[in-house]
Amino acid sequence: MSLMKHINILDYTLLSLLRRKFRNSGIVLVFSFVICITGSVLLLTYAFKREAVLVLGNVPELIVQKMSAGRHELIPVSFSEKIREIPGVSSVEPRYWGYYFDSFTKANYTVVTPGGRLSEGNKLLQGRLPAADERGVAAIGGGIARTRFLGIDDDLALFSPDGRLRNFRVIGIFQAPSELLTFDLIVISERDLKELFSLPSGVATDLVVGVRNETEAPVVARKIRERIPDSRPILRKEIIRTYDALFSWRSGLILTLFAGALAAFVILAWDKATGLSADERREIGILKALGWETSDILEMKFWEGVAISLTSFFLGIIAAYAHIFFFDAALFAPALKGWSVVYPRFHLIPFIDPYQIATLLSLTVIPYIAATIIPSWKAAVTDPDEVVRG
Amino acid sequence: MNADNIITTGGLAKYFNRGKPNEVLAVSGVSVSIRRGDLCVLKGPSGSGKTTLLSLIGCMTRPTSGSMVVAGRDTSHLPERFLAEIRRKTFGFIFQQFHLIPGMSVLQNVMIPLYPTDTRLPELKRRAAVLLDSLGMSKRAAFPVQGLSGGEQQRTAIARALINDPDIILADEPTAHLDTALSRDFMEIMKGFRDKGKTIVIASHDPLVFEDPAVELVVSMRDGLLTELKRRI
Repeated sequence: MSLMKHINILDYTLLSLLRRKFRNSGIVLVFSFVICITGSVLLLTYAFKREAVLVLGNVPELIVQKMSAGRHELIPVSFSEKIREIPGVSSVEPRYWGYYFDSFTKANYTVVTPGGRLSEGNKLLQGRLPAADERGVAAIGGGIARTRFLGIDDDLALFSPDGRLRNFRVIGIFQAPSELLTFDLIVISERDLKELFSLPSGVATDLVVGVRNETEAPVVARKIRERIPDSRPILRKEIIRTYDALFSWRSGLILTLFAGALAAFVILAWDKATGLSADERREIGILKALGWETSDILEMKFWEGVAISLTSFFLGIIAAYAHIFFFDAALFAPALKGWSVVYPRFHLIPFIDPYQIATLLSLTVIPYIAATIIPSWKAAVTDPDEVVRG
Repeated sequence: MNADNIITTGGLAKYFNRGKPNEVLAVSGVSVSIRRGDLCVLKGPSGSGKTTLLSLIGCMTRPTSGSMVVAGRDTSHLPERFLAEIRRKTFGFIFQQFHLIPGMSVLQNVMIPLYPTDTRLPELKRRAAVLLDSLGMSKRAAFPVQGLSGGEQQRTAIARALINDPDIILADEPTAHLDTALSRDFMEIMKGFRDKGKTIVIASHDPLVFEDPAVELVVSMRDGLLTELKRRI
C-alpha cells in the first residue's frame, strides 16, 4: 500500500478539523485545561518530593530527640555517653538549632550552628560561614537577604526571648541547589545561638548519631529506645516516607478540588464515546457510499483524535510547566506547600519525571483517541445506505 | 447471462428490520438486466422500492436474498471491503439531497472519492478542475458548497460522481429539487455521458425523466415489486 493514500487521508483529516474549528478549539481548550491541572499537580508534587530528597540527603542517618508529655524537648548532652556505648555507633554529636519568628516579615527562620553536614552541597553565593567560635556574625539564606534587604556587612537584628536586641553582621549569603534547604536559614556560632534562645547549659536541641553500617541504623534506634525510654530516635528513611506521604496526600487533595473539571472532561469524553453528531454520522455514510473503506474512515478519525489530543496534551503540559516553575504554582501552591505559606517567597527548581509524563500521556491521549474511534467504527460498519438515508 | 449486461439481478429481495414488529419488505423478487450503455430509469411512487433497488445495485446495502451481478462479478455475498472498492471504482453516485460536505469547497468535495487512493493530490486537483470546467463550474471551484444554488450543487455532485471515471452512474431522484429547465439540463448531461459509453441508472418519479425519449429502459415498481419492464430501443 502506497504512502500517498495515507498522505491524502491526512490531508482530508486536516480539512475536516478546520471545518469544525470552533468546536475543535473548544475541545482543545477544555482538554488542555484538564491536562494543565493534572500536570501541574504531578509536576509540583514531584518537584517537592525531589526537593525533599535533596534536603534530606543532608539529614543524618539517625537523630535522637527527647520527648516530654508527647512533645519534643531539649535533650541532655549527657545522653551521648549512653548512646556511644551501643555497638555500631561511630559518633554522637549534640546539635543546636531553633526557630525564630520574625514579626517584621511574618516569617519563620531556622537558626543553626555551623559544622556537621551544613556546608556539604551548599555553595555560598557570597562570603563565608561563621567559624565555630566566631561571635556576632551570621550567614543567611537568600530569602532572608531579599526580604530584609540585607547584603554582606549589613546588620541582622534579632530579639532574644528576654526582649534584648542582638545584632549579627552578615558575612555570607547562601545559594543552594535547592532553596528549600537554605532559604530561611541563619547560621551563627554555638554560643550566639545559646544566648539568642537562652538555652541552659548541658542541653542540646537533639543528638546526631553516626552508625558504622547504615543498614544497622534501625537496630541502633531500637537499642537507644530501650536504654533511654523517653527518647525518640528518628531514622532518615522515616522522614523521607513522611514527606512522600504528605505530598502525595496533598496532591490528592488538589485533584479532589479540581474533580469538577475532571468530571466535566470525563462527561465530554463519554459524550464523544457514546455517539456521533448527526452531521458526523452523515459524513461517514457519504464517505462510505463514495467508496471509502471502514479502515480509511477509522484512519481519518485516528489522525483527528491524535491531532486534537496531542495538541491539547502539549499545550496543557507547557502551561503546567509555566504555571509551576515560572509562576510558582500560583493557582494551588498554598494547599501543596503547607507550612511554607510563611515563606517570604518560594521558587521551585524544575524537576520532571518522564514516567509521570508518559503516564499522563497514556491516561489522556489514548482514551481520547479511543473515544473518537469507537463511535466512528460503529457508524462505519453500518450500511452506507442506512446512514445516508438517515 | 448476456455478456452485454453490466447489471443483472435475480429474484432480489431486501427486508429492513427483519423479525421486528416494524419489518418492511422494500424489494421483493426483482429480476432485471441492464445493458452496458443503457440509460435506465427506475420508476414508481414514493415507497415503491426504487431507491432501495438503486442502493442494492450500487452495493450500498446487501440483499436479503437473490443474486446481484455487476460487471460480471457477483456482489451479493462479497465482504464489505470489496464492496467499498467496487463502489469507488465502478459507480458514481448522485444523491437526492446531493450530500455534499459543508465547510469544504466545491473542488474539495469533488475530490472526496479519490482521497483514499494512490492518486497524488496535485493530480486529484487537476482532474477535479477539468470536470468542473466541463460542467461550467470552474469559477465556483473555491466556493464553499453551502453557498451554491440547487443547480450548482447538483453539478458539483455530478462532477464528484465522475471523478473516478466510473462505468455506471447512479442517480436518486436527481430532479426532485430542480426546476424544469435545470431538470432538462440534467438529462442532457446524462445523455452526454451515456453517449460516452457510461451506463446510467436513475431512480425517479418525475415524468420529465422517465418520459424522456432517450431513456432506453424503464423499470416500473410498486410496493417493492417489479410491475413493468419496458425496453424502448
